[in-house]
Amino acid sequence: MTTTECEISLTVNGEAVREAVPPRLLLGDFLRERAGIAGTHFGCEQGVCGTCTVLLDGESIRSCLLFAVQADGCEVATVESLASDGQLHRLQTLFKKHHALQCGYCTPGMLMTALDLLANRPPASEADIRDGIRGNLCRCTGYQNIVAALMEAAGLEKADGAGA
Amino acid sequence: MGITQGMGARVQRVEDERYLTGRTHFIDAMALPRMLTVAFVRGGEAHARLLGIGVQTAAACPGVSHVMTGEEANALCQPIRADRTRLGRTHYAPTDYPVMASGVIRHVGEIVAAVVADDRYLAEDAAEQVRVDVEPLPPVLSVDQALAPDAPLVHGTLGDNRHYHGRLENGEVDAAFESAHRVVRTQLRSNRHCASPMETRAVLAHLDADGRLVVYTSSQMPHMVRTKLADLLGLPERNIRVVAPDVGGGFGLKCHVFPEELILAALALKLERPVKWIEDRRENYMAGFHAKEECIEFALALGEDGTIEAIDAAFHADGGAYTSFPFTPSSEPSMAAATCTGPYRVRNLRTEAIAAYTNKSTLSVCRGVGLPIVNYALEHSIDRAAAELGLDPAEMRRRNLLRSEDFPYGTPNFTLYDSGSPLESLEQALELMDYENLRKEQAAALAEGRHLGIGIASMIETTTYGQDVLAPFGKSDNVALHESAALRVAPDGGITLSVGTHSHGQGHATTFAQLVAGVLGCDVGDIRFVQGDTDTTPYGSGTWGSRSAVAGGGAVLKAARQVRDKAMQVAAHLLQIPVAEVEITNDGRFARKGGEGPSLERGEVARAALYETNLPLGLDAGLEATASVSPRSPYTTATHIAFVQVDPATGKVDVLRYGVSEDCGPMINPTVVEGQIAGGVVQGIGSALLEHHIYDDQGQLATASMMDYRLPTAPLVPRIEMAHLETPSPHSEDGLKGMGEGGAVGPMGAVPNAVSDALKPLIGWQPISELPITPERVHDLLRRHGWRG
Repeated sequence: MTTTECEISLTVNGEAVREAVPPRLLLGDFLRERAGIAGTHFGCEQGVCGTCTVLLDGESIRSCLLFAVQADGCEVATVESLASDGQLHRLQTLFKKHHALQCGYCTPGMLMTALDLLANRPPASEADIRDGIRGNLCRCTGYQNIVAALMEAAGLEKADGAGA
Repeated sequence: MGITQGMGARVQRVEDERYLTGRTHFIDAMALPRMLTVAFVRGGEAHARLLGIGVQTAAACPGVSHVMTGEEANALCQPIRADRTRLGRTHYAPTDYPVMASGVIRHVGEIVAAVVADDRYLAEDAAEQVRVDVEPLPPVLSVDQALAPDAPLVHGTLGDNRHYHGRLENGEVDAAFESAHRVVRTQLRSNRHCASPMETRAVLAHLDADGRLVVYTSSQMPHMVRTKLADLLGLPERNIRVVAPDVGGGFGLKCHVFPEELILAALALKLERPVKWIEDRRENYMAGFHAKEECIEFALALGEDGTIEAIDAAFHADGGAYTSFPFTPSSEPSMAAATCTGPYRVRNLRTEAIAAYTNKSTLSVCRGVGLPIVNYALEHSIDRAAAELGLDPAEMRRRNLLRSEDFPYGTPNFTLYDSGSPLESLEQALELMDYENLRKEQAAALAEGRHLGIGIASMIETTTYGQDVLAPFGKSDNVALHESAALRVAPDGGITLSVGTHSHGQGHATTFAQLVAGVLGCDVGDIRFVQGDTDTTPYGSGTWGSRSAVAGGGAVLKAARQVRDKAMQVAAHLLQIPVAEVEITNDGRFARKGGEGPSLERGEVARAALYETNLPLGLDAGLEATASVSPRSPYTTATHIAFVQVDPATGKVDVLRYGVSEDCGPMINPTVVEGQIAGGVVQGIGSALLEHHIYDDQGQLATASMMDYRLPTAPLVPRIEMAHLETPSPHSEDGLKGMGEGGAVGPMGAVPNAVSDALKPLIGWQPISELPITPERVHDLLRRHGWRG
């Protein structure tokens, strides 16, 4: 099915990208296959699981529910943008410290959601954190240590024994 | 560093950084030059005769290289089969499982064609143009229907729909039931569950420079996949390389050999181009295997004091369309039957296990295999018995649980429990949750009109699945039960450890390195961990059945000790002292005991061994070892306690607190153990409250998306509280036991028990006869027993 391609220019992790893309190309596929940034994964392609979450102009969005052309002129940030100069981002360090990942497949999306949560809707409690990541599914950790990592990231008192 | 990073240390995982930074090697991130993408055309009927497939339009679509149908695929590839010997009187009727539907479609989602195109968008466009002509046949949609005398046959060549039918009787069962003070007989139905790893299945196949077939697959068992590819494609196994790279969760789904792996291999061989398939979630739910759906009849014969005198249990599993390889639909009911006395003293037992073919996606193994069903049936029956006898559920258990001094314990299932602490675990869990206060809190809440419930579930977890457990079922015909490890020291002292298991979240790169660190006195950072590649790892059947610590870790310990022993000989020679005088210091140096005199770094010893400089006479060069372990099955015991609130007005169940006392023997890394427990418990809570694959009366899957198949989210679950006991196994290396599945087992008993307990003041203790416990079911149960609010 040949379609007219559209020229888009956007910033991905601080770098300008200019590409001609089919209108139906998903942003997630664009990032992986055109921009060569493969750390973002799909888990359901229906906007349910949150695995493909990236930041679009600083807000978390599902890259499976957005076409690449809709990101024209925007700034996209993926998990690859977090570490710099070989140093992990504080959130990444806390995930490692608290054993907040097992298979690691949901981790990029979880990190990007958490980044948005901490920056834009600072949680005041464990319940806020749990509610803040309710759109991201993890099948390995039971969320326990993700919550523990985010409690420390948010500067909240760790509940007794959490994330031991 | 070595000692502080050995067994028992909470070492941070060494493998985390690549996942945290997105530098992972999941198959979705892999691309090869000239790579093509595959989209499958899947049957839309539950049961239908396949009359014809029209591919001309699809083949002419833009970017399409090839459309493969069943005629071609099944000529290139033999059907998958899981035959068995040693069956005794057990009825076992495996099917051919063709890689594409052959003549008949037997479930919605069965593959009828594969479209190969330049990219996935084009492949999916073309797949929509494939015409599938069928003549619908009557579908079989439940185990009851499958076993009815007039049932349509799912497989016409078999005389009936039974895949597996096993029976066992031991002791005086009828007499025990006749003389029982009370009989508690309960009928239960468990839900149709699926593993639902966040990464779906994925395969990339190509030919390398030598023309060898290379298959990347998201698998828990790369060596088994390679063996089966060779067998079914008719290739020498040495000419196949299978790689399971980063794998985004498995939970038992990915410990099978799948048609998709074989088809992708056949396409790569035919087209001589790399081909890739990334499963979408709809396919994963329609055609990835399901688990757990069983009808259960469970009866306890009870003495006046609550002693369990006998158990009579029947497990009938809705086995789906085909025989999966290697574990087969029989695993679910046969493991349930084989473990259905749980951690209790029971002398008299009768079991029946049936798996029947139906027109649904194949039922096979998933985290816990049979044990979650047993936990539901047995623990719920015990709580019912306690209610009928007027005993506290904890007291009912105290009167029947095995205690540590009872082990080793032979069950009437002819299973030998090696070791454990069920009673001690119960007491620890009660203390962890402060049971007495919890009861007070429950009473106080009731006075305010809130309905809280406490559910206890005791459990014993079969781990590792050695010959002692699987050989009687003939399952060892299809899956290797040993595991291997190879350890090699380089001239700089650095260590490469390669294993046949596969970690996809379990943290083996860290925990196995800790085992080596404990033996060689090194740092986990000194060890390069290799897994998943059949070219570079020793043969093993991979990671399933909570076997990696005992079988894989055991092999690692053996290999490390062989290397240590040889290094000691070399060091003794270099230091000019007797071997018995050499020790490895806390910082990993080889020195005279007591630390006097000169010492050697591991690299110096390795260099001497590799360069044969001053090597003792008679000693082979090099510093490496390959070892294997053929394990027996150690048993892990645990107690789960759920504390829930039920809203009678809406039927909603909230899990307020959840506690686990577990005894999995010595823990290599308690942080990793606790991560497994928490993740397992939340899966188990999902099984109990949310997850269910629903087929409609035409056999259409109504839950083919994550919107419909509900997985637990963070706000739906509490923080899991934990306590540990550590009883070593007498027959594994260093007393290790498995524990990967147990977390998902206990909630199947604890949550229904808590809900029945919460509703008791309203309608008396009533069984939860069907999972998951949805608000509608709670509502119906209350109405059925006359509660009108």
